[in-house]
Amino acid sequence: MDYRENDDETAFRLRVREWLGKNAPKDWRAHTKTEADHGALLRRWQRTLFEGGFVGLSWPVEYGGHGLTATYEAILNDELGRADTPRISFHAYLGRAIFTYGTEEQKRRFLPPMLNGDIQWCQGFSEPGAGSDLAGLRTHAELKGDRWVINGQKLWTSGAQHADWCVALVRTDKDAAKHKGISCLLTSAKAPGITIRPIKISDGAPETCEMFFDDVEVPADQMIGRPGEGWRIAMTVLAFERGPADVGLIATFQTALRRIEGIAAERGLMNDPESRKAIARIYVIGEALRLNVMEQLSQRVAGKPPGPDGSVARLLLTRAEQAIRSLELEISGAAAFTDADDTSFTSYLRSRTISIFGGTSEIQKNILANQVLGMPR
Amino acid sequence: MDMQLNELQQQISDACGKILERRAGPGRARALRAAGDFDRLLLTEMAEAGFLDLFGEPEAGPLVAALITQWGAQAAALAPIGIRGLVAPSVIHGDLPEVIAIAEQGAMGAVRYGAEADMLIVLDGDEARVARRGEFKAETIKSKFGYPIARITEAKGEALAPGAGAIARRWWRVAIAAEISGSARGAVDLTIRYMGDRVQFDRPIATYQALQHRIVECHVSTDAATWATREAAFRGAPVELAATAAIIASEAAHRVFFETHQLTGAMGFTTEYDLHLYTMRLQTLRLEMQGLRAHARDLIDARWSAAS
Repeated sequence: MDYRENDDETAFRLRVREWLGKNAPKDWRAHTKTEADHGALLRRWQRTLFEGGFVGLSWPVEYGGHGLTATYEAILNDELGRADTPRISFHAYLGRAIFTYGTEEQKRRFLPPMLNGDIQWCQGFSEPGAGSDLAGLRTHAELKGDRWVINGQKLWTSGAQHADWCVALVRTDKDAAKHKGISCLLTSAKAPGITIRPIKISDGAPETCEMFFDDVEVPADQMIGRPGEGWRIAMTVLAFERGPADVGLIATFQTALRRIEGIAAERGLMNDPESRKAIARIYVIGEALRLNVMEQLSQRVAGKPPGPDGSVARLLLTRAEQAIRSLELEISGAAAFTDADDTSFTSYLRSRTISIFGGTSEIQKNILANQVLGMPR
Repeated sequence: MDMQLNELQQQISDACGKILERRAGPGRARALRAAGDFDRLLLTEMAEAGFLDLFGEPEAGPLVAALITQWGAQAAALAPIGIRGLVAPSVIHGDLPEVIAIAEQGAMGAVRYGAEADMLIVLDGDEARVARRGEFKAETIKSKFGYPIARITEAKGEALAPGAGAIARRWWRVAIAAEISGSARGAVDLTIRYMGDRVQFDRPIATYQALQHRIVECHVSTDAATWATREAAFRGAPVELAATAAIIASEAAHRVFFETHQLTGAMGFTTEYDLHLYTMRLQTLRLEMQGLRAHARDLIDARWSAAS
């Protein structure tokens, strides 16, 4: 056990910090008032990061990565959060599906443009009738000649309106047990027969979408893994999506804490024992999260892929994010209500979704109970 | 950064585990409690194996001392391993007796192992003194709190180096957090086994999702306490990390006490069942050093006093 970064890791951190000082987009929130602006910004930012050599750090060199350990990804995400840059993370978990289960040809075709930002992706998993019970999904694909034909509907497909491609879970065998009849297809998000309808969430942003598939044709060589392997692939993707280090939320949390401390100091609330106590409480919750994430990372570096115990980090993340956003709102006072600076309220509303997407808190607890603590179903 | 046990730590874990398996365990803890005794034999064996003197060893250090404290508590060891292995060596150099107790000046009404101790460390603000047997008086208190408890009626002794009280206070917090982590894990593991065995409405209660989620929350809290303890120990118990570990652990203690007793039902409240061996100790540990509020006060003073 050694909690320190080694010299190479520290040197990398300093290099990232210096690079971000020169290249991180400034005032990007003020300049991205529309969703189209935001989509364009994400694409540009990913390209900039890629050209700086900071995308796919832990991926193998032959697929455009850098062959480093997961610790480097964590350091990068930490620094990105610290610099408060836009968040780009889909490649970190969706790429795992292709990376882990794809053929050599699929990896060479899809991974490099996924890393450099040429192709943006979305995740077509949930459906109107398949949320927590993801394996109950009904969107189906039928093999006709050398093409799969998809029909059905996906829901809560974040970023679909900006996406070029979609990783879609589809039912390919209606007679198989429900977890076993699912397959994973890669489809162009702009293919004929796909209709995307953005859904506004409560803060007004069209953050998520529904996708309709009407006789959408997908070449057979765009299936990832074998028919019936979709559930395993989905679990791999979700295990990575659950990891707070992979999506850089630890640093975002720490940035938010500094912001709260700043607002509290400005408003004279640091003299108030109750406010100090509330901030201390959030700090402690954040520390619990940070340490668990470090432990998870350490396991990853030791060669163990993320497993069911990642749900501990997900639950701690949910607790931390929801608690800090609630406090941020309370500390902000009247500023929280104005249109000019509604960051606090937007963040608060978004924090509420963390216990829902990527597997609800209840699902995380089921995973821990059954797969970590060995309790019967 | 590597949070897996290295080769040496794994060897220590294996060797220490063997001693704990042979010497500790709920059965022995219950017998010792019934006799009003504690586990001096275990301490002696651990001392002879060198497991209580790792704090200053470069290859092991405080992290391993904290790990041993956690493992001991998880095995229901009834002995002041943390105070001896983690707190005393932070302020006293040289040979130490096996049984050491610690108390705050002005709060000596209930001191763990006070009557059994060969040495008492007394914290007085940032300063501290050490009283050897004969230099302090202790009266055993009849207590349900899972440890031998005594009232210290008099404590003379010799002053330690300036600032020793502040140092010992930080390590005391880490020791408490370590012991809570281990005891909480023992209680959670026991409760999971109980839930698998206990059948109601024709199926084990472990199959009920509502109950699974409650024990999962205990698991998450215990996990958090474990890692917070280990980092605080590794980094030399700075005020903020030590207090944070103690806060996270104290909250875990509260939750684990409440939930494991709920899940174990009436059986959990009997002395015939092992749960109390862990949970009564959790209550002592979360109250020691004036508990959560004092830990939080020190954290706030350390981190935000300049901002106020």
